[in-house]
Amino acid sequence: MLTKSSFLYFLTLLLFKQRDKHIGTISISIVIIFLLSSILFISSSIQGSIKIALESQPDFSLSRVEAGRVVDTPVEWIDKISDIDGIVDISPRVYGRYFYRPKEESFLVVGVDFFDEQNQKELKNLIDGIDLKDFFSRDSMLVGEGVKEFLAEHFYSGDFSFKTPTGKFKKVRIYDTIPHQSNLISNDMVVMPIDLAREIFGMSEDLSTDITFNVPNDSEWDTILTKLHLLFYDLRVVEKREIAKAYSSLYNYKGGLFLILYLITIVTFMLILYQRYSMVYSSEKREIGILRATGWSIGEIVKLKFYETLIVVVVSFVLGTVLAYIYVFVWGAPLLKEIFLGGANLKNQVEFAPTINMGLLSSIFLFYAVPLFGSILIPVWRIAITSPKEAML
Amino acid sequence: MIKQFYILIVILSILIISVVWDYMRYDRAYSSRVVSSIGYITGLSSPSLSVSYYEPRVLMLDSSINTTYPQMMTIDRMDFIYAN
Amino acid sequence: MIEIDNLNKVYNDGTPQAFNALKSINLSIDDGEAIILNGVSGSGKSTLLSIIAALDKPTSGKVVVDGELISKLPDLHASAYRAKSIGFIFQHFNLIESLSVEENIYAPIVHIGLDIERIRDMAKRVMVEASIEHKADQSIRDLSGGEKQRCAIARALVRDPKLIICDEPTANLDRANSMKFIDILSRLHSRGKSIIVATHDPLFKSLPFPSRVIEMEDGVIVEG
Repeated sequence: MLTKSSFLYFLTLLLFKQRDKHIGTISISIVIIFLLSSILFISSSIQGSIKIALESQPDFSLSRVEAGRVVDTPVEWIDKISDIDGIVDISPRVYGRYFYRPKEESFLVVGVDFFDEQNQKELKNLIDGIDLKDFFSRDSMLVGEGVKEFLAEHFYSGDFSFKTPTGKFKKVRIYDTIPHQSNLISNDMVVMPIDLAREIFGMSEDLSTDITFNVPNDSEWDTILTKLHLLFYDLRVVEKREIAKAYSSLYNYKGGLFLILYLITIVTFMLILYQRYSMVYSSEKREIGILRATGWSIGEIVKLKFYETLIVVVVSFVLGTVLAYIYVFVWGAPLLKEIFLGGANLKNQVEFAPTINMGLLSSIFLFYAVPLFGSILIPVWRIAITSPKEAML
Repeated sequence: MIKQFYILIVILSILIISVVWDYMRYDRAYSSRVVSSIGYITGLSSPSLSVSYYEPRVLMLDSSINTTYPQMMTIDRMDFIYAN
Repeated sequence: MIEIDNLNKVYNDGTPQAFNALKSINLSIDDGEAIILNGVSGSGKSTLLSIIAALDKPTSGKVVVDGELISKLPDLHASAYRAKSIGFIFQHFNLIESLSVEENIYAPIVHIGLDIERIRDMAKRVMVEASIEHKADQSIRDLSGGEKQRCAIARALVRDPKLIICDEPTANLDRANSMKFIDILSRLHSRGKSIIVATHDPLFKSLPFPSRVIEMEDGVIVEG
């Protein structure tokens, strides 16, 4: 029985009696795994949330381009676009950055056509118990948590006055806060009726920021794109699949940041281990020599050290991963999230939805465990094959 | 196995169980619904980056525009990256 | 029964630093016999003991123990032979510092598949025999030279081996502890154990039990 096995007893005894030797390895391992896992968790969570939001996004957004720069798009284009077969749900969008003060913090103001039934339905899904009648009774907006906090810091609690391009102020009621579960996307958002947004940006009714539409049959996408480019010479079309690809490469673990991080981690790890092992080498060598001299075979020595290392690996990995989980999904990854999302504009109280990608966790485990086993067991094997007399010197 | 090892196993098991419990109890359905709704309503899915749109690209370099070529983007501005 | 036939050991063979530690050694040791290997440092005593204990391999020649050719055994079999048949007491004790007395004693036998209770009983038996049971939980670091020696003896006896090999066992002991050690050897000899001691301690010249003295010099047996 496992609990009575003298080998396991001796193994665990050695482990704890020589814990000073292992604490260094475990500490470094925990730090490395913590960092790698934290970044993995953050990126997986962001990817997961963006994927959900992307699914409900229109398939295409079309904007006008002038001398290479994107400008406001004429609303009259909608009639021409609707003539193309296969295109549905065409609607203009009005959104843009509103700067609180020039070059200071900014909000993303999004105008929404709330007369659209589906939009109303989604609004009720978003804000539980919203009274649409009350919402529409006067100029109202929904704000993200970052905006709410920012405005509160500047003593705006019930409403905020936007400065319009005409020089007049437009007072808008802060109706409610967008739920914090969507902070990843909505933290700096201000959602308001489309006409109000037009007023704030000084955009006339015949203009919009861009036009969106859906093409249900994805095999027609390329055809429709060609038709659109023939229709208008000065347009830029952004496809949902392009956005998906861009996000995927941005937050993919195979991408630049991750690869560099892995490489640096592994190299640092190997250097530290090598240095640490050369320090404990002589005492380890003597211990192995003594065991060999008293009847342990090479295989048994390697087996002992293998299981010893396995326990160290498992303990480090579990502790590192659990700490990373708590750091990211319980504490919201302070400091580290700013690598992904920045920290110079509004404070982002992102709540990362717990997402565990077992495949990637296994990759981290292998990335960490294989070099560690190698750097410990190879020297052990080399000592074990030495004559015990020599090893004990 | 020695007593301390059993204690270690118990501690690790508690940690793993706590993580699994936290993972399971998270209201994924509500979170997905909210994100999906905001994505539908606004048509936007880009993460809310907390970036200063006029931050200098070169740290602490805050020069004025190039007077010889006023149309040219100066090295120290990031707005051309973040602009629509 | 140990038969050593034309044994040679050359260190760094084939290099300019080659050193002939043993030259054509021929020796027979009967069961229950006590052998004292006498000679100055560098005479080849320790090398001979290492080869008999399968801790080292000879360059040429044969060592046969109870009909088994142990000089050419692969590692697995050599280790098994060492574990079962040899109790080796080293000059510098060679105990694992991070473990206690009891743990050092049962360290050689934890890998043979017995359960821990049985292992501890075996360790306890030999601790009593070596008069070290009162220090069972003490760390090796806190022991005196004599106590370390008794711990080493207990470890050597834990599997009740037929052959006890001692390499300069009293080199780090005072006279009183050396006499205690000889006393233990005497008891082991009376139980029928074969004993080989490599030493240049004059105390071994007059042992309380019959023994054969073999003089070694420059890797050869000059007398005995």
